[in-house]
Amino acid sequence: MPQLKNREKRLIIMFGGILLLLGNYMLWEKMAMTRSQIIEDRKNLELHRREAEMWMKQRDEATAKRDWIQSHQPTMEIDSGVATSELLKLATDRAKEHELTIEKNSLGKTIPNSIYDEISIDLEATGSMEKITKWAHSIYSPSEFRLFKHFSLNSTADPDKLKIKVTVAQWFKPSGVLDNEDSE
Amino acid sequence: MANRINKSSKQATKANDLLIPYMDQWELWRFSGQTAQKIASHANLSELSLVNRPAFVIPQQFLNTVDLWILTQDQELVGDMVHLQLENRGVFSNPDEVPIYSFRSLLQDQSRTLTLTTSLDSSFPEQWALPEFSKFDTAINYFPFPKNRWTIWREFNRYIAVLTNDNQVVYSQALSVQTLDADFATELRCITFQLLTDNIAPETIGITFWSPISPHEKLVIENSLSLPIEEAPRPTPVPPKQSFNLTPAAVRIKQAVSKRFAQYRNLGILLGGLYLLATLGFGSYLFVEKREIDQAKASVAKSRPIIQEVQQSLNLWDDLQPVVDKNLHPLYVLKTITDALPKEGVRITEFKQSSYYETFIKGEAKNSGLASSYIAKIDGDTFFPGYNWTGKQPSQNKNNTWSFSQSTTHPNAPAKE
Repeated sequence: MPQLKNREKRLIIMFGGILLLLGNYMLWEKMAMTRSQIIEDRKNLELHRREAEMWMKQRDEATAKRDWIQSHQPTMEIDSGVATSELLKLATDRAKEHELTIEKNSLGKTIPNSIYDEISIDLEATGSMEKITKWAHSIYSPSEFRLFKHFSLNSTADPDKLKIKVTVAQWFKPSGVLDNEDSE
Repeated sequence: MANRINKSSKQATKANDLLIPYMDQWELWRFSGQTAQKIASHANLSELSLVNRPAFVIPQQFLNTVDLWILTQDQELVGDMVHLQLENRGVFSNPDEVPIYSFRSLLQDQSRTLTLTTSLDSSFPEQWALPEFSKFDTAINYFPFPKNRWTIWREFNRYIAVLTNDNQVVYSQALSVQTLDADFATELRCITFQLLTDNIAPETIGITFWSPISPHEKLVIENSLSLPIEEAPRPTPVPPKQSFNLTPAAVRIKQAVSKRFAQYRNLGILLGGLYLLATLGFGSYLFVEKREIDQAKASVAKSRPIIQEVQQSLNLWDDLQPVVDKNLHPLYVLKTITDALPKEGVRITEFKQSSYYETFIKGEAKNSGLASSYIAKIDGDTFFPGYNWTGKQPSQNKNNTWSFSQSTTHPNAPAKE
């Protein structure tokens, strides 16, 4: 191998030096980027950690709520039409029990969604405030997921009587199957 | 550039190899403790390996050795006075050159100090001024010379004469004559006479030749000097107890440059090392941090299903709000609204709650003040936190009563599609 001239040696050293500088520049740039990413990740992780802590603190409460819903929300074991009829029967029977004068009643539609399947009935009646209140109390039952979707009271010509128009609804566990007839 | 013995002697222990001229050759010796072994010899210096940085014994012909009486006993002053005497004797012929010499004190009398001073001659060949040598010294420091005798040996084409007083070398010189004949005897006699005059030489009792001498040469010299001559092999060199520092100026410059280069190189290595260490440290830090982040991410990912379950449960609860929130019970709402009525002057004529979340009331009041204060009362009722009641301003009826209506929506009502 021929001996290198001084000029050639200098050029090789310069070239090597430039390569070394470039390599180091790239290395440190990469490390700086990694560090920035680490700082960003740390921030995000801290946020996630706090968020997770917040949720985990509510875990027992959430579990209790879920368990309550699972144990109380009724399951529709019969046809939704039949269930609606039974709901109407309950409402009218109780209305009669509380001496309300039923003016109009009808079956509502079944409305399914991801959380519950809703059946409902509509009822119009008149009666005293006290009787209406008692009837409403007997119908409204959160533990059975039975509630008033619409509820209105109007005064009538008779100052001792009020007119009530309600939509009573009940929420069953979602069946996941749409009842085409009812949902139309 | 004078070097005192005590300074240069410290350097003596460093050299393990010794390059010394003898007869027509260069001999390379290696010291191991107090013993020495000849490992190579060659007439040409360049043929010998100098990798072990040997001490270089300067051929005596390139040294000027003189005995100087210095008129002081103060060792601090001796050095300066030696320098002055050498200057007076014209040893430093070129004022631009740095004088290279060493000296040692031999003895002291009442007011004087006798020094043996050796200086490097300016004719010292440049090709021998190599930085590969650990030090430059003289042969007198490496041999045990016989007591009170002249010791003669040949270095290349010159005879070297060393005189001892007791066991101390008091004179060393390359003789000008190159043959062992009457002229040799005459030169030696002159030197002896001079040294005797200066009270330096002992009563010499003989001459020892470390290099070969023929019977004829021996006879001529013995007859001329009336001194017994004996031949002896040159002894093995010994590590010097004291040594001179006769390093040529060119070598000193090269050594200084090498030292500076070594300093820069060491500094470069140090900085490079620190840089490498910093890079490695930073890289390791990033590696550890990254691993921790990855572990933390894995931990977060692990807890995600549980969190999702919690969120789903709570979302389901919120979605079932009309069931679980008594504030959405129409009778509770109605009771709160009627409880807020004043004893007289205001009545509710219509109450409506629709789609679980929306409440509407309509009423009558004797005057607008009563209507407004009632509206303000329900608006501020703690039963309705976050509710926003809105409605028409009370308006007067034909029968002089005032009508009003208000509506609100539960703050957590789902957005209307």
